[in-house]
Order: sequence, then structure tokens, then C-alpha cells
Amino acid sequence: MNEMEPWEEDIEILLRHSMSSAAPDLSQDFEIALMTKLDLATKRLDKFRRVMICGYILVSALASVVIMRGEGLHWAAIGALLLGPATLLSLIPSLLRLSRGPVNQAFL
Amino acid sequence: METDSQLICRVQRGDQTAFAELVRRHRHQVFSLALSILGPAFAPEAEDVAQEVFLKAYRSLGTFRGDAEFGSWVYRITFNQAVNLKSLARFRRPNLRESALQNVVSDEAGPDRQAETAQRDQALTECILTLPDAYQSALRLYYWLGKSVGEVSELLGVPENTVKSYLHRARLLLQGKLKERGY
Repeated sequence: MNEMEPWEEDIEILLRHSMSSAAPDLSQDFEIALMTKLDLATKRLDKFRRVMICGYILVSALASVVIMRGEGLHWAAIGALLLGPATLLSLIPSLLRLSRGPVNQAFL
Repeated sequence: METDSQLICRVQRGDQTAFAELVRRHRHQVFSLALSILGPAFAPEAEDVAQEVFLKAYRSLGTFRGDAEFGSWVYRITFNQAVNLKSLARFRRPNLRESALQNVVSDEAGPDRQAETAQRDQALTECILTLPDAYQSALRLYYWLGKSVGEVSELLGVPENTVKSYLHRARLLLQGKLKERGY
């Protein structure tokens, strides 16, 4: 801010005088309020995702049952076709954990 | 101390305490920038902008690739958010005269002199409001919030020479506007 002309120095003085009030600070609970909002937003999103996934599963299972019954399949076969993949899917995380376990421990 | 990038990696893995640390590091700068755009009469609104910015940043951190610094990215969001808010009708005029927030008691002698000074300050404040957003922001950050040219450059995401040029052009425009008003 060197080499100012006289008119610029005058404006500089005016600006410094006009803007000499104390600047406000953030309220004390800014972070708490923000993290609360964040928690709420995350929970709402999680709930929405869960509802969407459950809805999708229910609708597709119902549609599958209707189609399979239409094709004349027995209830036992329909049950096996629906529950089999579902059981396999629910086992995947446990299987992955088991297979990764020793590898992770090697890095410890 | 962990860098912003390390904290971002932790946030991307779902660690909210890492995000709290990022907020702690950048909250004052974000608030100052929002305040510099909205003006002294809008401190509560500037705080709302800061909250919105961090919420937006949290939602977008999953896709943040780290091409830019977290700070510059968040300051860019802040600038846009504050400018958008300012463009709303009720922000065109402050609900409080900005000069009312400034020094009420002057050390200058005589009520006439004080009234004259108050009038001149008011005129200056009104002239500042007619400047482009970037100039207003640079002026308030530099003169009111006491930021250095380097800090203003970081907050506005422009080189230091551009900040100097903003300040120079703002002073030049203000001088012309004040002259028009007879000061």
C-alpha cells in the first residue's frame, strides 16, 4: 500500500475512520449448532435411504412372487429363489471380514 | 498437526470429528468473508451463511477430489452463497444504518463537527454499497476486519496484485462518488 497520491491518502483516512467499529465475532455456540444440524441432516438422509431401499426390495420381491406364481412355480421354490440370494447377500460382509482379517492384522 | 487433506480423508471415511476440526480451522475466515460481502448490519445473516456453507461442504466432501485447497474451495462457496443472499430484495438496503454501528462518540470537538463527520461517514457507507461485490468485500476485509492483503487474496481467491488493484480502484471510485456528493 505504498506510493499513495494525496487524494488516495485522504480516502484511506476516511475509510479507516468510517470502518473503525469493532467487528462482530461468531456466536459461542456456532460449532454446536452446526454439528447438531449436521447430525439431523445425516440422520434424515440415512432414514430416507433406508426407506428407499426397503421400498425397492419389497416392490421387487412382490413383483417377483406375482410373476413366478403366474408361471406356476410352487411356493417352496419361490421362497427358495427369494430367500437364497438374500441370505447369500447378508453373508457377504461377514465373509469379507473373515477373508480380510489376517491381512489387516499383518499391517498392525 | 494433521493437514486439511488428511482430515478430508477421515471425513470421507465417515469421521465427523475430523469435520469438526476443519470447521474449527476455517469458521472465522468463512464468517469474515460472508460479513465482508453482506456488510456490518448483517452479522446474524453472515453466521447463517457460514453454517450453510459448512453443511454444503460436508455434503459435497464425498466427491471432493482435492484438486484445490479445502480453504479456497470453501471460500469460493462462501462468496457465491453470500452474493446470492445479498441479491435478495431485503438485502439491497440494510435494516440498520451501517453508520449507526460505527463509532457513535467521536473525539472531535463540537456537535456541528460531529454531525458533519457522521454525515460524511454515512455518505461514504452509501457509496461503498454501490461498488461491485468484490471491491466492497476487499475494502471491508482490509479496513474493517483488519486482514492483510495476503489474507484478502486467499479469501477472495485472487492474486495479491489483484487485491491491491481492487483497493486502488475502489478508492478511486469512492473519491469520484464523494466528490459528486460535495465532499
